[in-house]
Order: sequence, then C-alpha cells, then structure tokens
Amino acid sequence: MSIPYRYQHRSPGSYLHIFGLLAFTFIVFGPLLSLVVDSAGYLASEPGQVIPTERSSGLLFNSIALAFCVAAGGMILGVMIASVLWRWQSGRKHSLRWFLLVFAPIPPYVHALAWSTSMSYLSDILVRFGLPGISLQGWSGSWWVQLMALLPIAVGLSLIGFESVEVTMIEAARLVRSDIQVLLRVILPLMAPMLAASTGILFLLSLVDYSVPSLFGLNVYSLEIFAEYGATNQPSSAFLLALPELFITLAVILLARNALKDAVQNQVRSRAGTYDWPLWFTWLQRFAIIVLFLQISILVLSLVSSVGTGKDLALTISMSRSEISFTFWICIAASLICLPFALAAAHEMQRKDWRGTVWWVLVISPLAVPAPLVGIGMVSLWNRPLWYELYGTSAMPLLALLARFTPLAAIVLMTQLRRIDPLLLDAAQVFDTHPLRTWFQVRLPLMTPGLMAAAFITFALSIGELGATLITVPPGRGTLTLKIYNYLHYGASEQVAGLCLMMVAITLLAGFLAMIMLRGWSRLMPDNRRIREDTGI
Amino acid sequence: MIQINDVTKYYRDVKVIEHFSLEVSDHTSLVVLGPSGCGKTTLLRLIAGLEIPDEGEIYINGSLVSCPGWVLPPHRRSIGFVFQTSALWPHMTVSQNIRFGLHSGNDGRVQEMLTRTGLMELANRYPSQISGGQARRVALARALAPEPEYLLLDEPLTNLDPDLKQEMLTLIKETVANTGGSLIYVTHDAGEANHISERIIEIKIYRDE
Repeated sequence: MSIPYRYQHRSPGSYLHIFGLLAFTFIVFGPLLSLVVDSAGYLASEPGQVIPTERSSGLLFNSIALAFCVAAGGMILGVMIASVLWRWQSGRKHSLRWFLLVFAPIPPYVHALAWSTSMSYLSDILVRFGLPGISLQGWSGSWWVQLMALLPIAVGLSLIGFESVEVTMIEAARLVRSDIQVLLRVILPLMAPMLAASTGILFLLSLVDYSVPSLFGLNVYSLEIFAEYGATNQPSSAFLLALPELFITLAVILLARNALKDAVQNQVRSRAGTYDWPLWFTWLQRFAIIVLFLQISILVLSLVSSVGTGKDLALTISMSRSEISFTFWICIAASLICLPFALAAAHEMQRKDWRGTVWWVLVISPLAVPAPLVGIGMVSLWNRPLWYELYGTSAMPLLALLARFTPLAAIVLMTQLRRIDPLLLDAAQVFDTHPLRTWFQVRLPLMTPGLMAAAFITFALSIGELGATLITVPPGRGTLTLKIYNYLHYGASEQVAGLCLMMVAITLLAGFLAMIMLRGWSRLMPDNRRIREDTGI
Repeated sequence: MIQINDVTKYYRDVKVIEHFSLEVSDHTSLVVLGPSGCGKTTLLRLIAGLEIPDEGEIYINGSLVSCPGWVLPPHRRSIGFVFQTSALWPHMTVSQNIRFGLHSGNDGRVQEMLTRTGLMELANRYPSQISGGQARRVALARALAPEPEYLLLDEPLTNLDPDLKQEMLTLIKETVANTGGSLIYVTHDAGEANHISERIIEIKIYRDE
C-alpha cells in the first residue's frame, strides 16, 4: 500500500539533496535571473534598447555565418577522421583515439597563438624565396583557428555518432551493398540526429567565443556584448544587447537536446569491421588525418619552439607565480565544490518522468549562455548591499567558474550514474542497516570514478576559462588566462608561449586523468551486452 | 559450394572457433545445432565476411573469400543473412528495406517478396509501426530479395511466441524451397532443428581439444 506523500518520512539525505538542487539553481541560474530582473526595469526607461541597430544586425549575421562555416567544416573533418578512428577497436590505437579528446579543453586563444606563430614562421620562409607571405588575419584566420580549436570536439561527437549505430544495421546492409553506399545510405542517415546536434554544438561554441576573433582583428557579436559592458558598465544594457544571440544559442541547444540526451545515455553499440572504401574516400580520410596531425603538432611544436631556453621558461613561471597559484586554487576549489550540486542535479536528470526532462533542459540550457554574459550576470547578482563582503573578493571568479561548469559536471555524472547496475543498489537496500553505511560503502565507491572524472573535466575547463573570469576577477588578482590574454595583445612571445605551454600541459594532464577514470570505470562496470556482441556469444 | 578449411577465430584472448572445417554443397540445407557460446554465430559471420579468420581459409564456389588479413567484401559473396534481431533500418519503410539490396528498377521483385511474405499491406510502414513477428518476416524478405545463393539464418526465431515460430518456420521452408538456394540455419533449439530436419543434413561441429 502506498503511503500518502505528506506522511512520508524524509531522511537527512533527502534534505541534503534538496539543498543541493537549490544551490545548483541559485549558482547557475542566479546570475541570469538577476540580469532578467534588472533588465526589466532598465527596459522600461530605455525601450529602444531592444530594437537591433543596423550595425548590430550586420554583426550578428556575420557572427552566425562564421559560426556556421566553422561548424560545417568541423563536422566534415570530424566525420572523416572519426570514420578512421572508429576502426581502432582494440589495443593502443583504441586508447589513443579517446586520448585525442583530452585536447578539447585547450582554450581557443592558445590555438590562436600557436597558429599565428607557425604561420609567421612559414611566411618568413616563403618571402625569403620570393613568394608572397601568408597572413592569418580577419575572417579566414578566425575560421581556421576556431576550426582547429573545435576539431577534437567534432571528432569526439562524430565518433559517438558512429558508435551509436547498431552493428547489425550496418552488417545487414554490407551484405548487399558496397561499404561506401552503406556509409551514405545507412550509417550517416542513422547518425543524422547526432550529426545535427553536433553541428549545433560546434555552431554554439564558435558563436559564443570572442577570444579568437578579437585576436585576429574580427569583430563578432560576443565581443560586442563585452565591449558594451566595458563602455557603459551597465549589466542590463549588455544583457539586452545579448538577447538576440542568446535566443539563437538557446534555440540551438534546445533543438539538439534529444540527440544529446541519447548520446550521453546510450551505451556504445557499434563495432567497426574491415571496410573496403573507394580510393577517393581513402584519400579524403588521409587528408583529414593529416589535418588532425597538424592540429596537434602545430600546437605543441610552435609553443615549444617559442618558449626559448629552460631558463626562460623558469623565469616566465617565476614571474607569474601569483597568477598560477591563484588559478590553481580557484580551479581546484571549483572542481570540488561543484560536485555535490552537480550530483543532486544528475540524480534528477536520471528520472524517467517529466521531472527528468525538465532537469535535463535546465542543465543543458546554461551551456548556451555566452561566457561574458555569465560574468556580467555575476556582477548584477552579487554587486548588492547584501553581498558586499563577498563581492570583489577571490570568491567571485570561483563562483563564476561554478556557474559555468557545474552543469557540465552534472552531465558527466549523469552518464556515469546510468551505468551503475540498479541491482547493486537494490542488493544494498536489502542488506541495509543504516543509510550512511549504504551511502559510504556502496553508493560512494560506485560513484567515485564518475565524481573524479567530473572533477578533472571541470578543472581542465576552469583552467582555460576567460569570458566570465575577465569580468569577475578582483582588483590586484589575476589568473593564468588573463595574463596570457593580456600578453597576447602586447606580443610578449616567449612569456606567453611559456604560460600557454604550461596551460596545455596541465589541461592535458587533467583530461588524461579524467579519461583514466572513465576507462577504469568501464573495466569495473563491463557492459554485458557489449561483451556478448564482442565475443559473438 | 562453401568450403571452410581449418578455421580458427579469437575474440580478444578467447578462442571461439578452433580448427574448424566444413563443406556445404549447393542446393542443400543444414542446421548447425549447439549450445550458446559454441561459436555458431561466429561461424555464420565468418562465412558472410563480417569477421576475418585468424587461421584457415574460406572458399565460396572454389574462390578464396577469406583468409587471415584479407576478406572479400560481404556484398560480393551472394549471401543473404537473417540476424537474431530483425536489424531493419528504422529510417526506411518496409518496401525500402527490401529494395535496398536490389538494383534500381527492380520493383517487381519487391512486390513479389512482399506478396510471398504476406507484407503487401505493410509496404509503406516504418519498422517502428509493425509488430515483432512482422519485422522478422520483413528481415526474411529482405535477405531473400537479391536471390542469394546462400541464405544464413542466425537463430531467426528467438523470442517469438510458439504460433509465430510455427508460421515463420513454414515460411522459411517454403521460400527457401522456391528460391532453390542453400540454407545454413543456426539454432540452439532442437525442436526448431527437427522441424526443418526433413530436408536438411545435420552436422556436428568438430573441435580439436
């Protein structure tokens, strides 16, 4: 017999869960809601603010065109590369293909530096031979560097798409058609929702990034939002200007929500065989792999060659000691503090009823908010008499990191929670003597790899965060990204290369540790269906 | 004729098939009967070219089609395959699923297969709009449409209720008899094997110990 809701006993754990959800909502949505409230008043006094000017409309159109071209190029390359990596099903190659994903959190402006340096070097050589030099500037420079920066994400999403296709669907088609026809008529149509969602994600990431266009002398809408705030110091004014872009990014993320949910929820099902591609396709694959190789090697080699001697690097690090230490502290704090809130949200996202859908939409929506808008929202929310003790302290960039990356941590945790066999938890309930005992001896150990992966991913992304940190960092303090970004404008090449190299190393290490956690989890929790498919039993 | 010569297959470190040899003559049917995990599915996948043998060779009509490191692509083997799950492409209708393996303009063959398997009324439906039993019939029609020389069936009646099983067994026997090709039927169910055994040769898998 079911007990009426009002008589049900609530355990201390459930109160903590509710607290976690409230904290998640406040930290993630507080800044945006504060902007909405402030802007309502501002709009009443300045109604003309919402009407787009000719300049802002043109800028938005140009930004959309750039983002679309980056997304299209990224997905074409991503699919070609993934069609090769998909076949790496075992051994070292299998580990290597997912290792490529650890390059994803490296901030785009680091790629900008690497490509600018290498193109300048190449240009010098060409000029020496009497040939015209190459200039990586403006639209084409921004397009190429953003494409390179987003390539690991494009490859990863395409790979998920390939692996989500049922193996028997492919094999049934291979019996009657050539492999290229199977790819074009069965695999790609079945991947279509995931490919569309992936294109949307790349579009969104390109649209909200202003760091690369600003370095290549291209004005984009996201930069305009930041400039508007800098010029007026009015959060509401910047928010109203951001509204058209925000509507577009929200629409993209909401359209992609179902495919994304399938991608993070579904187990890997597909297993590539030995394919007999036509020669033209093999050459396209080779070209795409060369681009991927360039993406990684240019990044590493150009930074290493620009650093100078070991002494120079040591000097650069010693000159930036306070920024490095501050960055480490806030990133470590953000990656740990976000976990309980992300866990509460992840549990809600797992629900099979309407609440699960609502929480899934709530958690993915903040991903559509441009970073500067999060920073401006932070000012709007926390710059009030109630919070004066907190505003202008080191807690502000920490809160900004939490606002930006707690939703991502929740998504990572949700994917891992879904892999826990419910029977293990049922068994724990049968033998349960105390809720805390079950929590610490069963639930927590099962969740540990997921928690650690979420922490490392948050850490890797926090290290490179720029948009929100730029606005919230207190006077007299600076982060690694701020120092690099300032150096990039002043052209201190050795120092900036040294700091970028260090950031790349830290990001790769954090990403690598996250991968180890996720792979370790796979060994701990083998998917029985996958084992059956692999062994043909 | 299909000739399997001393084939061994590993999955990771597990030896699934070991020094296995078999000959299947033209216009014959055979049932491979065995418990789960004995490598029945792997055997069919090797014949179809979906797996590469680690040792040994496979010949079809006297031509080498598989050896370690090389396989003739599956679509060049004239093989039809019915999987354990129906494996219908969800973005294609029933008739599009059947037409996929045919050359363009061969609509007559699609109509013939739809009629023969009693699917005419479902031709424009998508796989999500038909029942499990109907999906199995579509899978059979799809496998037979290109008139393959060899039809491989991998436990095609798993999870069907007894009535549907009976109906499908009759359909398989009839359609294969009409096409005149060879049949390799894999099952762990002795009842199913016996039902087909009036016209087939039962072969036991030999393994070196």
